[in-house]
Parts: sequence; structure tokens; C-alpha cells
Amino acid sequence: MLTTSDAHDIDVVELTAHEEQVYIEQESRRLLGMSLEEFRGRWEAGDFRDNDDPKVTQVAMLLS
Amino acid sequence: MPGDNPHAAFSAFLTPLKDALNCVVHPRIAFSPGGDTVLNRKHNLYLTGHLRVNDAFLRLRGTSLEFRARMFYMIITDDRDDYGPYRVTTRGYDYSVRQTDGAAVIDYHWHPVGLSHEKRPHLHLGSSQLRPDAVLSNKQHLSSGRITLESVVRDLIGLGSVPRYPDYGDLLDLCEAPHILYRSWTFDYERETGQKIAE
Repeated sequence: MLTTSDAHDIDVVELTAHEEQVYIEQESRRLLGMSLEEFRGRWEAGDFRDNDDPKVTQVAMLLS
Repeated sequence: MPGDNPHAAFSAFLTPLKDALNCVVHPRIAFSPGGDTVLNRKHNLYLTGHLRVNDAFLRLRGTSLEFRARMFYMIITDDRDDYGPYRVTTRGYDYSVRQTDGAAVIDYHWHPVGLSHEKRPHLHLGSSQLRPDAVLSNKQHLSSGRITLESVVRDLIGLGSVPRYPDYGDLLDLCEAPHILYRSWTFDYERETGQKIAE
């Protein structure tokens, strides 16, 4: 018989759009030292094409 | 993971992930607005939370390591027998292990869309694990095949993280089973499914 885990006690929270935006902004500044607006603009302009820095993809993956 | 409605499909997707991660940390889970109901939109799942404290990394017991896990997914309709009417399909993952001083140890990535030339699942070795004259670098994509969260949790235990339950191995096998049963690819999404994920 398997251990009964306490997984049912885990909080699962739906973020508001603002909360998610704040989090992604923080990640952009922490990892890349730039605002999310700047990152998004440069990303869409193709500035990071074939950029292999995992920090870039970590932020890019968070974009919708 | 199938469900009778979008929320049920989301729950079926989330429950084994939550249970697996719970073998090594007490997860703090958050997801994008509408992430349990809205169809055909990419959602973010923050399995170790979204709090600014510690950059959403959680400390691994018995180690000087921390772990952060994010997944990306969509809720879709699927009219195949036993696959629907709703199910969640994964659209990427980002699992990261670092030292408590912030130095990267290993990253597990799959980002099938975007500007990177590497669309297949891969690993990045952290700079803290590489000598300055190493042949490998942090920027290299090391092919990994699709890695389940359960496999990553096994790796964390292998790195010294003390499991929270003595029978973690059985728990992880149990959590992983539905994913393995329903997944449609293992190494290369485009080659195996014959489809390309839309940008």
C-alpha cells in the first residue's frame, strides 16, 4: 500500500493577468536585465534569433 | 489527459504532476488566468510558484540545491475514443536546478516554438558544472528526448534530495503512467506526429 501523500493540502492558485504580468516582468529583469516591454520588442524584431542563451528562452517561454 | 470538461481535463493533467513533485518539495502551484477553462490558448503552469521570494525556486531537502518547474500547455478538444472530449496537451517545459547561491546546475528545456533553432527537448549544463576550458558550454543544447517531471524528480533524488516518502519510487511510477499512456511522441514532436506546432 502506497504512502498517503499530503498532496491534497497543496494550494493551487489561478493568477490574475496582472499577477502573471508582474511575475514575467520580474523574470525578464532578473535574467536579462531588461524590461518585459523591451524584451518583447526585441524578440518580435528577431534580435534573439538563434540565441542559445538559456536565459533568453526561459523568458521567451513565458510569453503568450 | 482526458476529461469531460476543460476543468476536469486540467485536473487530470495537474494531479499526477502535483503528486510527483510532492515527493521532494511541497509545491506551490499557480497557473495563468483561464488556465483551467479556456481552450486552444497556451497557458503557463508554475509548479513551484510565482513568488518573488527566491525567484520561485524551492529548496531541496538535504542538499544545497533548489528547483523550479514550469510547464506550458493547452486545453483542446479531442474526439478520439478515450482521449476526450477534452484533454491537455503539453506545449513546453522549463525545469531548472540551481545551487542556493544562484549558480545554474542543469536546465531541462523543451520550447517547440520561438526563435531558437532547437525545437526538440534538450538539456543545458549549468556554468557551475563546467570548467572554463570545458568542451561543453552552458549554451549547448544536449538532446534529451522528452523528459517527464517524474524523471526529473528521480534525478533530483539522485542529486541528493531527500524524498519525503519512503515509497517515492512507486508513487512516481504511478504518477508517470497516465502521461506515458496518453503521450503522442517521445523524442521529436514534428517527426513523430507529422505536425508542426503553430507559432
